[in-house]
Amino acid sequence: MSDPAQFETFLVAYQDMVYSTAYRLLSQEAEARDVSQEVFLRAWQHWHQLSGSPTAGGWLKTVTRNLCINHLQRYRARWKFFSDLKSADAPDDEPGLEATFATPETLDSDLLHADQRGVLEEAMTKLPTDQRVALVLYHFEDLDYVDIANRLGVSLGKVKTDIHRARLALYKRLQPRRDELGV
Amino acid sequence: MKPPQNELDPLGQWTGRVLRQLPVRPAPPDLAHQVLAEIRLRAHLSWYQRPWPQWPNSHKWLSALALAVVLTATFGIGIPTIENSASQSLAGHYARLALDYLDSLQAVSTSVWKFLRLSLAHLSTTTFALAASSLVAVWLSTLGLGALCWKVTTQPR
Repeated sequence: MSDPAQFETFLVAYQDMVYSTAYRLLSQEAEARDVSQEVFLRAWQHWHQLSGSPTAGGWLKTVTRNLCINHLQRYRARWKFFSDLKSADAPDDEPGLEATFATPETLDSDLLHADQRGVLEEAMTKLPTDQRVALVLYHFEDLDYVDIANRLGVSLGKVKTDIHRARLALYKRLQPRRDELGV
Repeated sequence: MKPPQNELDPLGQWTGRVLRQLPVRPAPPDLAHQVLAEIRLRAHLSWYQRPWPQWPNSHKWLSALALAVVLTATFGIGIPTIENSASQSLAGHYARLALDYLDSLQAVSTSVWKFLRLSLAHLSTTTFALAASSLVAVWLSTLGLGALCWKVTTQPR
């Protein structure tokens, strides 16, 4: 099989993973598509190294993650000031939520069996950017708090707070639809 | 690597389990087509239409050499020659004008810098605070208004 044909096979095999990663971090279809395209163009430039490499998937994931973080830092840093203002207005903790939190076993059974994927994706999309990115890096990309703080250039405390707030916000958004979701 | 999850944090465990069940989001159907079309397009670009790092090695070396020659000629030979030249030709006249213009720019920037340095040294704290507040107010009223509009219209709540 020629190089272009091999690359096309490779592209088709990994495009969903790359696009998913980009979409989870950016939460914008057009931006995720642009980043995905850039990732595969870079993959083509390094095709002589990636072709047949067992770590090609990891390479793609890392490049996607880095490009997304660069994109967010480049184009959205200017809005950070206002995000922080908004965050500062929000209450630091929501004891009501934590107090009423049930045991995990009662919450996640068959959560995503029907149209529930859309509900969860919508809930993720509605998270503030800082919180969503930290949550995705922790739960999907398997980075620890320190790695996330280093990559995003923020303090460890902010990462922990963002992740905690994101979890609470997700729970808060999904909880009212528990019956509908069957959880 | 991520440390083991805190067994006492049910919220973290629940979030992890729920998120990991979220299936992969399918890529747009035309993504592969777009990427391949872009690769084909780039393959037909001439070397000088590509970014410098993608030029052939020989072209990279030659371009670096050419740049060094141009810089040396400009700053090592050209400017001193023009400055010392008594030539009254039209080209010499315009070159002299350009150099005078550069000298003026340098003089203005030096004056502005001196003015700022002296002003800052003699400014009272109150005046400095007022000036800073004015700058912040101007910044907020221009960029800030736009940013707030953007957040209100596009950001999730």
